[in-house]
Amino acid sequence: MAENAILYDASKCSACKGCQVQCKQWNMMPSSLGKDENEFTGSYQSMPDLNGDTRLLIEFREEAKANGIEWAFSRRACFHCAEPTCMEVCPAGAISKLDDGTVKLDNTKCVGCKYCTAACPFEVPKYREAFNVSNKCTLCDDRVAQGREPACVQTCPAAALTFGPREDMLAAAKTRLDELKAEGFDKAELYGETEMGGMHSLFIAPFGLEAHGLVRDPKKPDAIALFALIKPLTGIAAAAVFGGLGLSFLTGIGYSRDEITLDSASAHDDAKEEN
Amino acid sequence: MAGLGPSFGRGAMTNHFSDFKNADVIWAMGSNNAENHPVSMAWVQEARAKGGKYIVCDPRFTRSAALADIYAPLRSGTDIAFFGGLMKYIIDNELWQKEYVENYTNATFLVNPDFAFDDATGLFSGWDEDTNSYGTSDTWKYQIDSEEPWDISETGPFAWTQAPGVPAFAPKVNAIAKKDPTMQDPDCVWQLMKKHYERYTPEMVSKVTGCPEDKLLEVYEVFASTGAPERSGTILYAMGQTQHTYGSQNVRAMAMIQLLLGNVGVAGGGINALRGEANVQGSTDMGVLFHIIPGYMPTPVATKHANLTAWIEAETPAASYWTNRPKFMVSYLKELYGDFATLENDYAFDMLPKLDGTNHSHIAVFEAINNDIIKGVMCWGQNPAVGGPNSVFEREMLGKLDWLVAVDLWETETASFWKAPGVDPSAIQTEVFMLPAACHYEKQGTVSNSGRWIQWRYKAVEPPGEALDDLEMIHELYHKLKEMYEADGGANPEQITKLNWPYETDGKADITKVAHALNGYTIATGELLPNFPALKADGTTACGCWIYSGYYNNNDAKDDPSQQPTGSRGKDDPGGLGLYPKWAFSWPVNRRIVYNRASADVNGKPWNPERMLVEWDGTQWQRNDVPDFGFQVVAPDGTITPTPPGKTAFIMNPEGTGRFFAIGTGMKDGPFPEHYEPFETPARNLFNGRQNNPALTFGSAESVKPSDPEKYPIVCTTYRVTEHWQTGGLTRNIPWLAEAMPAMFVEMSEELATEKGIANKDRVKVFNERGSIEMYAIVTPRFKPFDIDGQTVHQVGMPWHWGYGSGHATGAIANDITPNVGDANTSIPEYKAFLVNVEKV
Amino acid sequence: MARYIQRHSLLKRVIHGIHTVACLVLIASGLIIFVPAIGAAVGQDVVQFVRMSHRAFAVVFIAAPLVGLIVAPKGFVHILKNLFARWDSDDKKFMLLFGKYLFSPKNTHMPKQHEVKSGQRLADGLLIAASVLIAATGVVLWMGASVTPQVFRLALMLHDVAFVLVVLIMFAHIYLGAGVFQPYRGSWRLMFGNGRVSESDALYHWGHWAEKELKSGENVVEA
Repeated sequence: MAENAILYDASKCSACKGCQVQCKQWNMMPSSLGKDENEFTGSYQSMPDLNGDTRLLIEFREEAKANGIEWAFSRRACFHCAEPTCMEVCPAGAISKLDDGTVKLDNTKCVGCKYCTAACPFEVPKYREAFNVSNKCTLCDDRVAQGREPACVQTCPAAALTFGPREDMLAAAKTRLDELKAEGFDKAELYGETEMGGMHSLFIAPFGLEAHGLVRDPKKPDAIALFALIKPLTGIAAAAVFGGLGLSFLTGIGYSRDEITLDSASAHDDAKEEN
Repeated sequence: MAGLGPSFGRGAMTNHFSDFKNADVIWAMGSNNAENHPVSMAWVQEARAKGGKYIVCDPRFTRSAALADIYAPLRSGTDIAFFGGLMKYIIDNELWQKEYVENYTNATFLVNPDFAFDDATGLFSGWDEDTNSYGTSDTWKYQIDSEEPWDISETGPFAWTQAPGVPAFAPKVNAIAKKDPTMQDPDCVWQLMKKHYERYTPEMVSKVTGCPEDKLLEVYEVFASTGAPERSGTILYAMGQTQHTYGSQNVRAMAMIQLLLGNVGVAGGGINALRGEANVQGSTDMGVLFHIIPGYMPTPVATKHANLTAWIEAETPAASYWTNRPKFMVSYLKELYGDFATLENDYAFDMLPKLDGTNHSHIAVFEAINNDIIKGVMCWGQNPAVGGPNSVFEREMLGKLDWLVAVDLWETETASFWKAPGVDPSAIQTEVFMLPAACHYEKQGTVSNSGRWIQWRYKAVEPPGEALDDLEMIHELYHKLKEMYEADGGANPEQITKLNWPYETDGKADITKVAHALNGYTIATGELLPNFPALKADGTTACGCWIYSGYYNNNDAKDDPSQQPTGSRGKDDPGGLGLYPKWAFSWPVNRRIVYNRASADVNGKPWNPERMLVEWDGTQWQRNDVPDFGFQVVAPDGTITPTPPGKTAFIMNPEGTGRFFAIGTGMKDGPFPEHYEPFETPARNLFNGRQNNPALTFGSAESVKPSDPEKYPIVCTTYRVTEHWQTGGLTRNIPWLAEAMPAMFVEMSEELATEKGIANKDRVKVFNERGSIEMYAIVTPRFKPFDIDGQTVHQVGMPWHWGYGSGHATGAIANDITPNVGDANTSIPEYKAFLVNVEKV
Repeated sequence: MARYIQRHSLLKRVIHGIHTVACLVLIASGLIIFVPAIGAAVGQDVVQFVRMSHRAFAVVFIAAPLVGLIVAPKGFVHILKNLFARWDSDDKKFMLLFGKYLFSPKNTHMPKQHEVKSGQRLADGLLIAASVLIAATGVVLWMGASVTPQVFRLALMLHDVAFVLVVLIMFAHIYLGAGVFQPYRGSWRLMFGNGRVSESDALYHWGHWAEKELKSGENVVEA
């Protein structure tokens, strides 16, 4: 199966949040049913970050520049890395990579340990308390398996989201990037081509990565890299200690010593001292 | 919409959504289409992908602005200044489309020499201080060249007026206006217009609007480039244009610009009113406004229309397609009253409710409650407690009613006004009935979108609980009323008891029967009519809404909407222009782009061959769209004779042209749009001696409580956000959407925030004489203070989606502080520009 | 009649026993998390059960020494005192000779030691430090979503580092303490038996201490 990817073009996104809501609808993720329980973020952004019931969030960042305002919209969701650190640390085998590059979190296997959240350079997987599982975008693998687009892509009214073979998406993204540069977006960048081994959710950032809150050169967090290193080290160290102790045991075979008493020992000591 | 009718003849969006992709320039002014019509962006982006430019003008930097090629700010309520400047720019730089203007507009027409505008007083000729109106505006008329009486001979076009069964009325005489093809006569429209906008220099416009001159000129240059014949530009507008005391004139100004640039009737052109509700076009088509009955016919007025003859004589123009109005009216009456409507009883014309000559718009309804005239109100899918101007006042008025029926999906703030915060329910005597209604997925019927496409929608699920669909409710109400009138009598019971009501099958309301009525049919056979040219004034046809005729005309499957034009879902697209003629049905007669005669030159050659809508190939008309002009004559024997190109591009206007100059009483506040300040403004009118629109409505009502600029120097505007819809009755009750935008806020500039000591996310109050409301502050560089004639004017803005009602997200009601003053022509409230002050709580 | 010294009290032995069981269970259950392949193989329900039991035993692991502190504060302090006792020349000599001793016990004469050998003090100290670290980071991991991912991932890493230390030191501890190492044969009885050490063994292992105890006779039992 060819690799698939979502292409998000922030230069076409009107931040209508249709994708955000549609994601919740298709994946049956609830919002607060109480009255006025949602926090006001101080901007048009719905909530401060992804949460256990939110796999996709449209973010808003704004800055006044000499040539006008840069109102940078971002689609925050799992990037489906080619080298997913979340999968690496998952102790339950709940995270897997599908043939098309989708990094799938199977909540029937997830044990809610939150290691994936800690391991993800983007902190994307979020803990879903009510079900004791981690939660993140699955690239709608259920829909894709039936030949449909991910729910967010289907709902996008402005063609800011497209989905298809990764190669095609990359090609389209590069063409678009050239267009943007020609239009005067000199800081425009493509995100996801090589990051984390190549992502399956590409991002065209017209105002540059930082303006859209994207991590430049993301890498596995140091602690997690060390964590990965410790495992083999542990094995080696354990084997070494075991071997050493075994050797010690062998050299000790046949060891015996005489019964001694306080008195005999003192005598012995005295004798030694005399030597 | 009231600005489009007097310009083009029809008060509707000229093009449609999928046509935006054909535009070279898309200009959103008074519309925040990316936020409020997100789907429109698909075609905006398509146009941009082809090199098109997207311009956004707005007092604030919106999500539309974020995607625009050019963003230009302007102070709320200064659109006419902005447009006036553009007209001057186009004229001065000779960027107008010459052949178009000369042939398809009334630029060459001569106007009564007594017509005048005095910039010292800011008044056009004919102002009457006593009545506070321009009265019959006698000077706003053409000079007459000749008169042509209707040819009512047996072979003449008006032979039908003499047929048996047709109500008797005096045939009309068509007055032909004098013209000066050279456009040099000082009385000709062109010269008058040129003179009128002479004052709208870029410096002046910049001073008034606060838009920096370079930005202003950048917009002018880019948009005026569409004056080249092969280029087209479209203007998208919405409530940002209309909700002003001169809202209709804002629209008029756009219409004039589009005529100057030859952008009306062409693919990728036009003036596109983006409607705020899925079916608002459909509801105006059906005559929900007080002054029209279905199909945009004038509501009879008691003082003017003693009988049907009087109505026909007064309301039928001497020329244009509207000369057929008697056919539409008689067919309408036949639908309403069936067999009871006969020639002898004036087709039951007396049964029609009549106006008393006064205003009965939204604001007026609440004034009438205040004056103890109205005692009971049915709020059917409307939530004035949140959506009405000066809603504090409107809620107070609801408490004066004897009874109130609220029909809605949820218990809205209107239904629960008696338990609003701070209200003592025991002090309210109004009896409130709440009728739960089915939502759109729970009923079937049509929805008419902005582009006039009438699309059938099917029921997906049954409504919950006791909820009923609207037709079922009306059906029950009708039967109950009829029963009561039959049993108890009363004043004029026939109005109800004689109603024609065949809209049921086996005793249950049946919407397909309503569809038959709207499409029209031959009474004798019940056969559906192909379209409105088949309507007759002799009582043999019935039609509930003439413009819809043709949308449901398949006699082979009368009960099956999917087999009807309105249910058709063909994706053919001849010409690749996004016309999709087989997708649903677009009134009139499935024309997708109205006035499309103007898409070709006088010889019928398209201005831009790649955007061909119609083309005269020398022998006949080639067409991708249904021609909006007489393009062929079909003889009784079926022989078709093509009609060679004429110049009548605007068949609904008697003179056949688009109008720079609005003649007669078309506009109540002047034939040319002129800048006036909003009812509440911190600025002085720099263009003329009159501060406000002289003809604005309800300005003197006591309930308005004008806010003094000394105490309230900040301009405020209201708007919607993508995440919510209207008063939030629907969206604040859907947790997903409540979460998407959870709280009420006011947006303000960093400069104003610093001045007031306000930080982002602070709780603040926004207040004026009408009320004080509390909400969060969003401090943002997307708002900037304006430099208005050297004075710093701050502007703030807030959405109006919140209320105290049930739901997951509650918040202050923005309209508690909006003024209940209205536009001169439509009385639409001035929600978009008023004064406030802001304070940290 | 042989003489024995009562080296460990019943309370100490019980707490040590409980702590040992908890530690072994924690290592076993931790391994399932430590080696994802095991987790994937056994399935969600087992992993979830193991995770929960890990937490339950973690409570025991942390609580056991605290119980000791509460019930016998003096003994606890005594242990700590020994841990940080000043190293004398014998102590240093012991450490210098220890490597040789491990691989050539027959030919190595070890210097006399106090109550806790210098090497054991070092090992115990490390083990206690690792245990404190693993317990503390474990609590952080348990808190889960209420800490930031940065703190969480640091805790995760330190938990693992401590895990390695605990496991390695435990190997050595078992090797010596359980008497797998020939010169230590029989020392399992000290913690898992009656807590007594024979005069001969005491003199061999902890010369200074044995001499002192035998002379005072306070803890000397004859059997």
